[in-house]
Amino acid sequence: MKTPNRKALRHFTRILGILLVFGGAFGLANTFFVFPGLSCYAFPYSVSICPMGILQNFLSTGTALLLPLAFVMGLGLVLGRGWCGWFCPFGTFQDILGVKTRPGKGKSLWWIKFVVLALTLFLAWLASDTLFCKVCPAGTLEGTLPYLFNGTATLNPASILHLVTLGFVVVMVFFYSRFWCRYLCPVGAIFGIFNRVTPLQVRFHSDKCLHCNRCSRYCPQGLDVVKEVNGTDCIKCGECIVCDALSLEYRPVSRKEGIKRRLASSKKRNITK
Amino acid sequence: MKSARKSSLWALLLVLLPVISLAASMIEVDIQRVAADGLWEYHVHFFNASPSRYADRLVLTLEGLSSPVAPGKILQGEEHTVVATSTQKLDVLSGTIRYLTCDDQTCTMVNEELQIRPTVPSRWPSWLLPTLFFSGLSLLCLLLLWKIHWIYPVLVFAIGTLAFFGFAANQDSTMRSIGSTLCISCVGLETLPEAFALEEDYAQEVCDMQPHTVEVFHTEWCKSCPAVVHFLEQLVARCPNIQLVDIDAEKDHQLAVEKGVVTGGKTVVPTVLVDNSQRIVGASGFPDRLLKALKEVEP
Repeated sequence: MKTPNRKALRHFTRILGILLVFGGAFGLANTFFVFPGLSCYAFPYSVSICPMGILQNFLSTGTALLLPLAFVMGLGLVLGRGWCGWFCPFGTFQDILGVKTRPGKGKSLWWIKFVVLALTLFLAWLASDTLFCKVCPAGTLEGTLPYLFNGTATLNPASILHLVTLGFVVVMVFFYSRFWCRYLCPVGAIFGIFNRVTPLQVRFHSDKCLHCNRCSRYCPQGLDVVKEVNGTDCIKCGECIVCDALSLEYRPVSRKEGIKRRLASSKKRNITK
Repeated sequence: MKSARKSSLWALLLVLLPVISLAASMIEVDIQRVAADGLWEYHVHFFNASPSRYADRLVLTLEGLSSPVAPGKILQGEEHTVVATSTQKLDVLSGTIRYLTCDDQTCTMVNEELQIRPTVPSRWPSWLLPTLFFSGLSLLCLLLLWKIHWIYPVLVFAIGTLAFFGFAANQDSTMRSIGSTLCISCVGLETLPEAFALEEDYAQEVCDMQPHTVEVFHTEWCKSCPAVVHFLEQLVARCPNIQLVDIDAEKDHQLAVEKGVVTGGKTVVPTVLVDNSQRIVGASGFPDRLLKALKEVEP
């Protein structure tokens, strides 16, 4: 795929993501489909369900997690974290804010989002309440802010806490691009589990690589592309495709190649300096 | 291959989770309606889904049926069918179920209200659809296995199974209703209130007013509604001049739309309407806002 086409396609799919959030404004009714990304179903026009919200709700009422899990696993299998890079409106929001932000390094704290995921699910079960939603910045953007404007909500400790978390994420996006996706997003953590399995892959051709590391400068997740492309944190956005050594493709792993082969490993690189 | 093993461990964990949570759910009831010589037979089918706990002293009382249905004791994983008759053709059966859920040492009492739609027995045997579905799914998985990594068939089969049982348990309608309800406290628009205490001065002031109607809209999913409803019930018990109308915004959806409780496709709960003019949304500081609204409508 040629670079300009890919960029235009990515703009298009991200606009689709935003349109899906506003589905109710086009007369669509509420469905039981799970939104592939972080989008609050408290939003007045939302038509699909937040994956974190529904998992917590089911756990808090002690319902067996059957259909929600099927949806989340299915979405993960289809695109993995490709949803984060190509669809999620909260990711787009951060991309717009952080358009001037240099990606920067800082991979070492990637595991925090798995802690957030585990804590979210455990606390929902323990406290029988959707505690994560009370601090979720996407909830502020799509729940608290619209209802503050239309007068349903008032300023109180809970809504101020919400505004503070959104403010924190907005400020941090100016220092680390896609700060929320990189370190904190629990939906990203779930999709990250499926990242090596999903057919959407950024392919690395080691024989064509000149080791200039130009690709890493473009990665919004701040990855060392040659080592970590397709890993848990790769959002498959394709920003790193600046030369012939990298290409985006949709192909399942064959029986012969292991899933590990999909990770461009530094050991297999033939370093000639 | 090490990382493939790791991925499969994750997949296994994801499959195990629902199985564990399934074990927590207990008695399942479904009813088949059969016509028989001017009477209607209701075949009540009980199933104990728990692998570890048995149910004892099970009594199901349904409105419209003359006598309660009591199968007594149902062991782990056992099924039980009881037939009840009625002269009426009932489309929705509502009632209560009471039973003890016991393991070797302890028993807990369960007392739940339930609503069941009776199904009409189908001409096709009940095992046909699951068999077709799962044999098709297995065939698809085998085809997948022929060419690509084994993790794909495993995942496809797991997703298919979860989705099948999810739809069978009507989880799609549960998910839709969760998505279309805005419980104000759930997205943190206000702090979740504890129960409100009814003070003597407050009650006296309200009791001295003219008669008023108070409508309260709530749903099953709403976490801050019980505090509001309980407070209003207390108030009504004390003051005969206040008439309380209790409305489930999901069941009476049309009414909720008419009264403006639904905005932009979302049901906003808890919402309280005083004399159809004053509107109180949310639960924080509810008693003070109610008193203010009552004073507004006072002639």
